Amino acid sequence: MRRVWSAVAASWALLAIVAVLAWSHAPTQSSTASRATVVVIKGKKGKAVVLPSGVATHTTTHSSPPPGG
Amino acid sequence: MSAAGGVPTIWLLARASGLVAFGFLTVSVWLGLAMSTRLLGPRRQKTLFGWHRTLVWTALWMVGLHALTVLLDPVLHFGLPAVLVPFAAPWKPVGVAAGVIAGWLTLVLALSFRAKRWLGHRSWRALHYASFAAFVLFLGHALAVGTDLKGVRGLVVVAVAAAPVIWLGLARILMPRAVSRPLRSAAVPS
Repeated sequence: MRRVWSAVAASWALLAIVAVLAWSHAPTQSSTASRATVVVIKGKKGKAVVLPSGVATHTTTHSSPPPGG
Repeated sequence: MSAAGGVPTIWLLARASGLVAFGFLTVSVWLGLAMSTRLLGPRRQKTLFGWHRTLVWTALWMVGLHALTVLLDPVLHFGLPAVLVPFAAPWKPVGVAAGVIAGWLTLVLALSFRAKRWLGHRSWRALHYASFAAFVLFLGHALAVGTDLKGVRGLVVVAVAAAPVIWLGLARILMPRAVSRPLRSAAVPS
């Protein structure tokens, strides 16, 4: 009888932990919306420049200087 | 087959079976020490012994499931030697080896109950001290390679699992005579 109780307890514990882990991995709308993305552009001398998206909606280049500059 | 969030179910099973195995082994070590210190009195020794053995075998089934699910995981790419032979794993070989050695050691200890008559009580008792090593190795394995025991969560688990082992272990070392005296007087009626 002890073996049966032990096996039942282990099975329930296993299922409960799987459920909790699956729930903790479940995607939410807010997490997908706020997912960090980066923009990689080519800068001076062909060097790659990584810019976090949302920081600036427009970046200036040599060909298009900022207004008044 | 994948669960929520695109995480494969086999990976969730691998993690869950490892955690359940660790929990059952920890409780089994607690019961073993409670038995040797006679903490719950001489009357409950037989019950404690029964649960101690049963929990070890249940934990070993869970260790087997853990090894099987790790073997079947499509991301880890673990072969049979990686889950059976220490230091053969391609990923974190030392941390994985701790779990492999602890698993084999626990199997030997569980089988030693059946070979107790052949081994003799002293040899069996000496062999049984290896359970402390197995416990520490399981703990090291869980902390080194376990996905779910990182940071504060890992420290909490270590504290909860190891504190009774340290406390009961010290009680066993420091006061073996004082604890075993009531059993002798109870066994020999005056």
